[in-house]
Amino acid sequence: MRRGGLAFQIDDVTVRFGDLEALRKVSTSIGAGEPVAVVGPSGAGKSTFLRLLNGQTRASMGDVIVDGRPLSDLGPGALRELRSRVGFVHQDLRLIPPVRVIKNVLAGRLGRWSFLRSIAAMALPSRAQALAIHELLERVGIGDKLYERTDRLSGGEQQRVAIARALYQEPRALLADEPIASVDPKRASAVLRLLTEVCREAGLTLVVSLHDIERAQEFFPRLIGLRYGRLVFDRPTSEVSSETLRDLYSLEGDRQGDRAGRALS
Amino acid sequence: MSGGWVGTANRLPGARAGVILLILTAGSGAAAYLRLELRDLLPTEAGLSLMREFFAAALTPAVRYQAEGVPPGTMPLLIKVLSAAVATVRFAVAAVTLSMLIGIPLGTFASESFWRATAEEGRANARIRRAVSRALYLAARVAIAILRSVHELLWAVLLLAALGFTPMAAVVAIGVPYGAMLAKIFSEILDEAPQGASRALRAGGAGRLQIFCFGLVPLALADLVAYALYRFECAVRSSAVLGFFGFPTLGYYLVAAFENLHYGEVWTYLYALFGVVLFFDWWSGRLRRSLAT
Repeated sequence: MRRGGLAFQIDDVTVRFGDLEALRKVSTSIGAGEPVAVVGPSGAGKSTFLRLLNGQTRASMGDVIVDGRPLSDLGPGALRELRSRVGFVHQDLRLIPPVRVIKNVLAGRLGRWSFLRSIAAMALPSRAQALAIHELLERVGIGDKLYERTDRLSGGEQQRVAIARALYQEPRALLADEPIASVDPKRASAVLRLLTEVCREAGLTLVVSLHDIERAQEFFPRLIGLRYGRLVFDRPTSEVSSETLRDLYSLEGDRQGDRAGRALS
Repeated sequence: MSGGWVGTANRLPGARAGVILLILTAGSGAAAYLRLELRDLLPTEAGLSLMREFFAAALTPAVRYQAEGVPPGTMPLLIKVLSAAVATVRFAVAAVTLSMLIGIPLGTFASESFWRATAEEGRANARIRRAVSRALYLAARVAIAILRSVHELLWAVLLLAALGFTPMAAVVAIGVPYGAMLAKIFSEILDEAPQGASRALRAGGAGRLQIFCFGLVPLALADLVAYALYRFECAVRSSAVLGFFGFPTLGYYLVAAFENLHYGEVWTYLYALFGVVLFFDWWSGRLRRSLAT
């Protein structure tokens, strides 16, 4: 399997849920190994944008092209294989609460194991697996929690488990949906530092959705701004003016017009 | 869910009162039809003395046979009680094992979250697959409803006629309806388990069976085990009652002692049954706690 980052191309994508347009004619591309932050107010379509990249959400119109292959062309097997190479840190973590940390991390690799192999690993992890996972947990700062029950950990620790699970996939891209939404401010920078460093070292593409614009500017060289499902800007962080940001987050004003434009008649 | 409740209540303010009125009417109607009278709760003179005698014996359960002239070489009473208790548990264990063999696959097929977890996106013949899984789901639901609607005593009557007087008939009589009950509750437990973990595994490329086994079952396991243990307790009671048909469980000897008016012995068998149930209650409590921690 080829390592190195995955390249994503979003090609004029619209995503509809019923009569709600979550994304509207969005086009951009993210290079292999590139770190990008997707910013915007809540409801802007940031989560949909991330979920689009590994096919958790399908484009209603347009297509997403990953490593040169359109997602709409992938059969279930190819889609599973792609997903097994994309680590996803969900905003609500989505861990398996009543099992030990080691099993939650092991679960990251299910996508590349046969059913029998996964039964064996989940029932009795090998020494090599335990060592590798311990190393990963050390990396995210909870090395002593390997055999702890996951639901006994604090929220911050559980989030590290979710990151470790995504990394144990040996992914070629890491997608993190609001990874600091429920982390205290002191931890927030540590989490972003961890994600950006790991991805830089391994050459992984990193796409993070963030509500917190200051941290996005601090940690990411490129920002994609979404608002009401539309791509508002997409440029190097240094070229994003404070005016642009004020427009992105300004609450009222053209909201009514945007709403009307967003709803399908 | 609760929103729906509130909405319904708002639309039909008198609905709840109507339901209560309906239940009360039905209840008093049935009582009138059956000619239930409070007077019938009072025992007759003879009944009263029998009851007094019977409950007095509760304080003095028999430790040896109450009958005169027990033939030499007869098994001592307490040994017989013990062996009846062991036989009761044996039937219960066999029946619950059978019910798990029936209930686990049936309950899995009858749960919506199993089919949701195992649905695959983007298949060419997705429509056929959906139809097949829908058919299996409905078949499992119908099977559960049918098997469950017949009580284990009725199953025993049917199976004794069909299979003859064999231990297998007793085990199947308990195991089949219990299997259906397990299946029903298992499917509900699986459907109530949170979906987050299984969605995450799917997003990580896990396959259908993997999603079900590692993303859904672990979240439901503690409840599944607790319910299976509760069913086991019920099976102990049912297995004791199947003694009425002649199987060597506590019920068999209990009825015999009762008919001979040996109330002391009746109480010995009853205490043995309490003992068995209490023991397994204690043990299952320990097991559940160790699972929950």
